[in-house]
Amino acid sequence: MTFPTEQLLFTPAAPTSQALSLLFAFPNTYSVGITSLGYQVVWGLLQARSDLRVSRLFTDIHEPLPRHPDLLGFSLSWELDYVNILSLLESLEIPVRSKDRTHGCFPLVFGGGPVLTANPEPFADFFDVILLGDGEELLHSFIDTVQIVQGADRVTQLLTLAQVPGVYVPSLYEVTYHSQEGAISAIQPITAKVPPQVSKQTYRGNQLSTSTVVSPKAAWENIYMVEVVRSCPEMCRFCLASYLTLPFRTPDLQTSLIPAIEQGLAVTNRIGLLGASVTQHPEFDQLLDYFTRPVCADLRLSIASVRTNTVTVKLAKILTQRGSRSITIAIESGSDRLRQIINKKLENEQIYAAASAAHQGGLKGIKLYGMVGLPGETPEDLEATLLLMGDLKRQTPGLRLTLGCSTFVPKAHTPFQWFGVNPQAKQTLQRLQNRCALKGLSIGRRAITGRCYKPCYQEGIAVCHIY
Amino acid sequence: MLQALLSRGDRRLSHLLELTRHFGDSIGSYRRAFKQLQGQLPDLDYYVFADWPIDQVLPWSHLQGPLPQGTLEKHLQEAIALF
Ligand code: SF4
Repeated sequence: MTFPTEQLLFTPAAPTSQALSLLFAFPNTYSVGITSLGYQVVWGLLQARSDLRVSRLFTDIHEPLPRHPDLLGFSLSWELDYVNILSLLESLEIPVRSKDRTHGCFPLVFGGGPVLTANPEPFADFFDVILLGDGEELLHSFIDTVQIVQGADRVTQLLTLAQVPGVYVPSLYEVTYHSQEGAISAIQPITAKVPPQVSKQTYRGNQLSTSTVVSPKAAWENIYMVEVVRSCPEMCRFCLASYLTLPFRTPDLQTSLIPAIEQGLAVTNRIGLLGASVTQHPEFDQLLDYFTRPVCADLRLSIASVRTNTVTVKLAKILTQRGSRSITIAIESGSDRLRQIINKKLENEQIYAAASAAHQGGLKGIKLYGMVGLPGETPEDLEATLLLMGDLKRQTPGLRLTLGCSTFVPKAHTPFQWFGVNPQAKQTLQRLQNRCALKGLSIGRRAITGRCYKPCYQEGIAVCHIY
Repeated sequence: MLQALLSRGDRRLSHLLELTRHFGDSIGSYRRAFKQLQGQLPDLDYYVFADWPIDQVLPWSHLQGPLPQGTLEKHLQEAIALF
């Protein structure tokens, strides 16, 4: 397979003769990787530097590879892709563990992305450097420092890099355990020269991410992605997309978002609005007006996430006109009590209203996302969800209803990080499925393989956040 | 379940991850790898199903997120109060 014809939205810098060679890898296929806004944006940032010569590497395709790259970077959006990281390292004949790379001319292996920012520890031994948080500024301070220590031995390089805020060098921290099979007793830097805590970096500029490349082979053909918001102010207790990336940030509509969208419209008619909670942008209504203009008539619009209480007839109408057939909202549960526990500020009345607005606006279906196994859940809560589904069906006849369910998974840096998975969750899910089938309701498991456009969720973060 | 394993995992899992790669990505192969590494790391239940005590050192405790741990604990208590 060769690289498809891509349309670039930036001008790559011409590398100088001194430029370091950098392999920038996405541990999955081209189609998946190029649909990750994070990967696109970081690639753009790297390519814009004349002190780097960048080649992209995917599992199925790559640009011409340097024989001895100086740097090898991975963007990890999906935890199970670690398998491909190990395979790619092997195929490049690079030892998989950082400690086996200290001698010999191996590249400096670094990684970033939402998975590594949340909890890099299971993968820590495979990386020399992990970048924590937003990449916009962090990436530049990292590369600038790499340039300074180029030529030094690996130990000096790593010690110097560890001084840069947000740059985490796992090998410089020692983890001790109460026993081999016990909990951790302490995590400490191995020398006083290394900061005891590494802080995740937060970018505060007005401009959020936009596609740097539009590709016909993206999972969503020729899509141009615009990050409308970063993080989510709602703070549902389990939600990584909110807690990990706080504070909630919204670029200005006139000076930032619209110019960004216009740039995309110049090359494609497919626009994706990304973010954990897109409709919560304070100027979202005006943004809709922008897309309602007749000049946007043949535009196809996708929205990553919609909060239930922001579904209006206006929104449903514009989505219908611009190519969408259904809308997805995350309700988590039909039980008001359980939603209070998880801090989801939503009432059943608002769910009915959302379904009715979707219907009136011409959408064919609505998909509700729920979760089972949430801490504090009781059998009554499941009954409440079933009741809700039945009532919805009666109240909005003709609207296709789907309930997508997943089980609660604890995530680092959220208030629910201390809770384990409910061992009964699998059976509960099964029970819910059976009961739904009896009632003639369709229920699917929340697909965990599609990485983009997950509404309102942890998974949504995969495409919404860079590094 | 694998997601939970990785989201609360610590460095001891790296050996397991290298092993399972050659076993396939089913949950069965993870169980097999845990068995093989028995004695070298906690079991699957510890990572996936156990509720962890608040004062346990978290694998990511040296990495600072947006909110201090105290705030997360407060939010947790607010939730538990409604159980
Ligand atoms: S679940 Fe949705 S509404 Fe709740 S915090 Fe996460 S993104 Fe926001």
